[in-house]
Amino acid sequence: MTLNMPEIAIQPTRQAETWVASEAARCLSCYDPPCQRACPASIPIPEFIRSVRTGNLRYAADLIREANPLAAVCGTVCPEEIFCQTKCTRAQIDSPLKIRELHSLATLFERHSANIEHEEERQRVAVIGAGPAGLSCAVKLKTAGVNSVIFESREIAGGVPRNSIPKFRLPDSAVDVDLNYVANIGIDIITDTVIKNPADLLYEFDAVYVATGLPRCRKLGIPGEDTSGVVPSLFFLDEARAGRIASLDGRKVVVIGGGNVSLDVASAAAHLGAAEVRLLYRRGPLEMKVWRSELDAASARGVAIDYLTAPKALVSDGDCLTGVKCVKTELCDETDSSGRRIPREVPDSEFVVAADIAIVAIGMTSGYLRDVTINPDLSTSIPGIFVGGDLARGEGTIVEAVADGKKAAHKILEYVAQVGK
Amino acid sequence: MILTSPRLKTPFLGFELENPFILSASPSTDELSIARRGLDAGWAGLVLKTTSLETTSVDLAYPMMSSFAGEGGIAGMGNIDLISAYHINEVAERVRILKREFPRKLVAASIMSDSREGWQSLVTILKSADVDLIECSFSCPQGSVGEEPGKMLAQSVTATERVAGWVKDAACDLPVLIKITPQVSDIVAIAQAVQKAGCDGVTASNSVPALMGIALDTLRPIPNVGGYSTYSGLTGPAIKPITLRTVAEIARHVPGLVISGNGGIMNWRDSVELLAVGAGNAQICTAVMLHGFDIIRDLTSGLDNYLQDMRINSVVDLIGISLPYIADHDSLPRQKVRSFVVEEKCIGCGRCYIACRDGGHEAISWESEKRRPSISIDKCVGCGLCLLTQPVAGCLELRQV
Ligand SMILES: Cc1cc2nc3c(=O)[nH]c(=O)nc-3n(C[C@H](O)[C@H](O)[C@H](O)COP(=O)(O)OP(=O)(O)OC[C@H]3O[C@@H](n4cnc5c(N)ncnc54)[C@H](O)[C@@H]3O)c2cc1C
Ligand SMILES: Cc1cc2nc3c(=O)[nH]c(=O)nc-3n(C[C@H](O)[C@H](O)[C@H](O)COP(=O)(O)O)c2cc1C
Ligand code: SF4
Repeated sequence: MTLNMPEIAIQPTRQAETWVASEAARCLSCYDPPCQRACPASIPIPEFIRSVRTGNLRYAADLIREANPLAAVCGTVCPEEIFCQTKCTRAQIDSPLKIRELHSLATLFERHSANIEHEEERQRVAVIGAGPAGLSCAVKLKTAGVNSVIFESREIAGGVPRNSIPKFRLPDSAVDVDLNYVANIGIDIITDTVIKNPADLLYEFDAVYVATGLPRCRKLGIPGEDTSGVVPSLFFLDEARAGRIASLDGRKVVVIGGGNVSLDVASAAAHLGAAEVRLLYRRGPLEMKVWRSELDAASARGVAIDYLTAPKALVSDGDCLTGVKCVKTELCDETDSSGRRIPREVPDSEFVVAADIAIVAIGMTSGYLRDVTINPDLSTSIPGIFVGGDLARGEGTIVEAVADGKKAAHKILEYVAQVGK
Repeated sequence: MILTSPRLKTPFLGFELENPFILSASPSTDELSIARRGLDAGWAGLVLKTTSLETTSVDLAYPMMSSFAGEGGIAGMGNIDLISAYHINEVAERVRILKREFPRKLVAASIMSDSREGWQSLVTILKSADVDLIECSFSCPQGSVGEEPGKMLAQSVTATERVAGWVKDAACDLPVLIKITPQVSDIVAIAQAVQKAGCDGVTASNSVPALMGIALDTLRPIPNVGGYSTYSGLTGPAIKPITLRTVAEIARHVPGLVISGNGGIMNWRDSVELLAVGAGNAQICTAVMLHGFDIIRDLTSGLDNYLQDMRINSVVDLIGISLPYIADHDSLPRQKVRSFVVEEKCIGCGRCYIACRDGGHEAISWESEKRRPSISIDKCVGCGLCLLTQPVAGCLELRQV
């Protein structure tokens, strides 16, 4: 027998890395998967992990993208410690799967998406705000055959993830994967366009989706807040992310807050080279509602946290900030509506923390749609106007905003189908 | 997401299957409600569980399932199931219902009998139900009726040819597959007997007779059925290499005989291998029994993505693609290969050292201080044993020298 044995000139498909293979192999593929139920976007977690396991990474990526239009962003910064991973059955055997990391890895294998063309060319829905909720709503409308246009007040689309979350946690490249997907399937985003009154758009569009988030920062309401050197958290984060703060070299920074945003602010300040970053929090460590990963990251960057410390006034030398006048607090036995113990000032305990910059991160508000009632199904008291994301739920997460966008898209589809008749 | 892709279209015995994945005769195809869900989930067709003319009830023993573990999960599954408890008339009725509900899917039925009249009347009944294809179980490890008691039909060349002939005589134009066992001394002779009898093809192959194990605490064999046990039919990952060899042998030596591949296909990767050695489609049982019908989504998308990556136009072009490279040992090229440590990947575990020392050629020496193996190019023969021990992919490499 004569043999003709050339090597087959074809490349094997890319093998998943050893970690991915062994991590994916730990998945029990549970029925009625608790992880999936805990994912606001309902990513079919065991199914995508099975495909990761068989090396079918592009299908895994497709499954994730279909469930979550912000696949790459969530793969990078979704707080798995409050969602999917907390419910992993495997934790009862040894430890939960690292679901977000598998998600993130699979997302890298997504193929280029193509424009989804419809018979109907007209843009029937206006979306206000190109953040997670708005983007996800537009994507779901598009895949269901309804075109929309997104109006975005800022220069760059992507909402908080693209404009505020520090780059060292969420690089532009990750957000761009999702924004490219949105662009590729043929969704128009018109930037630099502020919409003052959503109802005006109802003259031109069958429905309007309002997802403008919480762009305003709460004020402390204490003396000296207008002093130069006192900065609202979002302004600081946006400037930092855009690279407009070259360095905080040698500066003393005080952050006033206690939530995740204050930790991002503190970390970003430390990242920019601040000589000292102190986070002032009026309650104790147990009351702090933050994600472990954020807290650890801030500590790793050398952020000091002063618990049981409340600001009383911002002190200046007439021109610039010199410090924050504080008072010590103690916790009462009574709790507030959030179930946390209420802080009470300790008499005669005032002191001044020296500071060149004070960043206020005590929460965000909207100031939008004030006179409108929001229904649980994300419709509103104005027919044709639907909402979602942080605007509707208060400070939430990206994946919850995505879930709102999906849910609202369903409602909008029902609504425009009726209006169309 | 159920995938329909032109690449996955699989012509098979005159049918245009939407993909190459068929549910093989098993509990998954034994209840109408279960079978229906399988087809709904996206399987291209099914073989209803084996039925017969028997009017006496099928006497099952429970538990009937067992398994043995490999590193990282179930390596093989065992069963002591018998044929379906449903009579042929009931099965024929299901064929009618499923054909009505799923006109585009392949609806096949599996039969077993012990006489010419039996086989032929089973065929006649199924024919009148408009079945798409008949599969004959010549290979059930329990209760098959062969030449001699306790022997499977497909273990005898003459019995295979004779009985297959009876079936084909009655079936005429209706396609017939003979489901064979890999446990024979000459698989080619069996396949040739099927061809001589005029049948269209084989299902290669059924479970492999096996003893699943002995429980060390009781010293009773597995599965423990009231203290006793019997041999099981072994299926799943453990039998894939046997299936690949069986299919390859038939494809290489019995041209023209259609092969429905079966045995050990757990995912799309396995199915690529099965098709590459000449199977015309892939029947699957164990993977579905353990993981459910929805694995069809990974099977179809995985195979489709793979074909796309490899620039193979369709399933048809994949079938038999690897056969030219299976050769007899004496015609293999004699090449000089040696094993090399890939320094940047070595983690210093020393597993390769032990293997070569005690199972190879003492070609590896061990530098204790550095915790590094070093391979003597003169002593290494290139057997490849050390590569089997690698804890990190690519820490050892065979290179031509
Ligand atoms: C600093 C920080 C860090 C965070 N980190 C995380 C994290 O790691 N993980 C996580 O899951 N969540 C995180 N979150 C929460 C998350 O970013 C939000 O829950 C999410 O972005 C809400 O999405 P949204 O679409 O509702 O609003 P936004 O993301 O705020 O988007 C709203 C968009 O609407 C635009 N807009 C506002 N008003 C108008 C108008 N009048 N006309 C036109 N456009 C308008 C805005 O410019 C913006 O682009 C973080 C939030 C902050 C502030
Ligand atoms: C519980 C069980 C019952 C089976 N019953 C039948 C049967 O009735 N008829 C038959 O031809 N094969 C039967 N089989 C064999 C399967 O159809 C298939 O040939 C075998 O399991 C190998 O494929 P797999 O490795 O994909 O499971 C059975 C297998 C199992 C596990
Ligand atoms: S698989 Fe179902 S039928 Fe079988 S033993 Fe378990 S519960 Fe009973």
